[in-house]
Amino acid sequence: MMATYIVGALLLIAFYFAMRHVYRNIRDGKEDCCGGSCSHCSGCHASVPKK
Amino acid sequence: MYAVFQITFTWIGQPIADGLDSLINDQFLSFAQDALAAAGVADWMVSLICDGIIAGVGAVLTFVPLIFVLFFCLSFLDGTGYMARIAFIMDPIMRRCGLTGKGVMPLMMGFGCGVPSIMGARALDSEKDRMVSILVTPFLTCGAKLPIMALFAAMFFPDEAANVVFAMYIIGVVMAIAAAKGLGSSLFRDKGSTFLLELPPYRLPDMKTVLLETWDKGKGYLVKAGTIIFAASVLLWGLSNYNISGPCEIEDSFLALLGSWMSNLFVFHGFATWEAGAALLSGVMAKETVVATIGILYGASDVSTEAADAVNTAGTMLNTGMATSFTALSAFAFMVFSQLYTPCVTALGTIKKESGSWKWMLFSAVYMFVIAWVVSLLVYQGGRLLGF
Repeated sequence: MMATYIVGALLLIAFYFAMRHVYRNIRDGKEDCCGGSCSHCSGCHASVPKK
Repeated sequence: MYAVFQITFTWIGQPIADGLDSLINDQFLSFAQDALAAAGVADWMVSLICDGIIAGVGAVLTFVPLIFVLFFCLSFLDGTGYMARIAFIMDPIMRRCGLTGKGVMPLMMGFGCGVPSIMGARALDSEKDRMVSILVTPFLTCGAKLPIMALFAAMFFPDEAANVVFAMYIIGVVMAIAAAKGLGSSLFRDKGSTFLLELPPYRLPDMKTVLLETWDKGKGYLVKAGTIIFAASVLLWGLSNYNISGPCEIEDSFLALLGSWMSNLFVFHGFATWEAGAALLSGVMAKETVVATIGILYGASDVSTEAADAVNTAGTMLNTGMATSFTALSAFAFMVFSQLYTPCVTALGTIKKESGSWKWMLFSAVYMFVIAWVVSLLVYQGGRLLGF
């Protein structure tokens, strides 16, 4: 039973961080394909213009 | 270009992907099951991790070698100056389809997998061409759809199986061309498609640049597998194992309920059963799961998602009741629908990522579903009128 709780807690933490990553990307308009940080993006032909 | 296709999907990418698939779905899955059971983890938690997360995320991770090999090849070719020339040669032909010459390679990749194909559209300079290419690529017969075609063709058209599967490829190509023409002359008509190209001299590309470019383009896919796909896998596992009362058999699950609702859409298509609805619904997660879901729901326990194995299990499936749920005509209509309907979540996520907009992702999901619904309806009702 204890093992189930431990594994469940680890899964919940992983799920939380996954959802937080998705939420922050949506909130900040960032894309994983450019590293998730626009400060590192110098622009290229593949970038999508944000309207 | 043919070599890139072969390198990605046959010579290098696919063998690595198969090895990774075996590593994840055989060795790691067995190890995880044994380790969790030995640790005394509850059965439902083991099922969630193994049947849900590892199966779902693992299925996506197996595509990673294809993506990196494809991007390496594209980056290498781009660095040599070859891409510019092939795009120039193919421009007149592609222009008739509403695209320009640079759209050839991403579309070719669509026969292997829609995800790298959609991502490969980055090579297109024009926003209009890139968007049209992204939106029509999922119509093509990717490798994940092949098991569906192989299974149904072997079961319902045993003497014409190859021709029926080939017909599905043709239907996919025709619909992609028609959609490209339609989108190019409507939604993206005024956004310009001028094809200006500077032909650089042939040169040996800098490998550091090629590798960095490959990593930059491909790493986002790994991140997506650990975030959106992870969450979606948990969701599907929950839908297929629970109903409002708690844990249940799959026939009583939310998935079965959703399948029943979805089957109402196919009353005039000849396959209005909850099993077909659930299979199509699960196919949105990954097209391979249509065959696996059908196998589970119709009682064939060892249906593989591999095309060849799918053919081999067709005889077993005939004895399980599936043959009574489909006629040859409704099976063909089901195949047409499976060929054309909403892309899998990975492809949808990639469309969102590449278009930078939820709007185009939703548009792709809806317009492809509508087109699939209409074409499948025409096939079934037309077939009935012709006496099939």
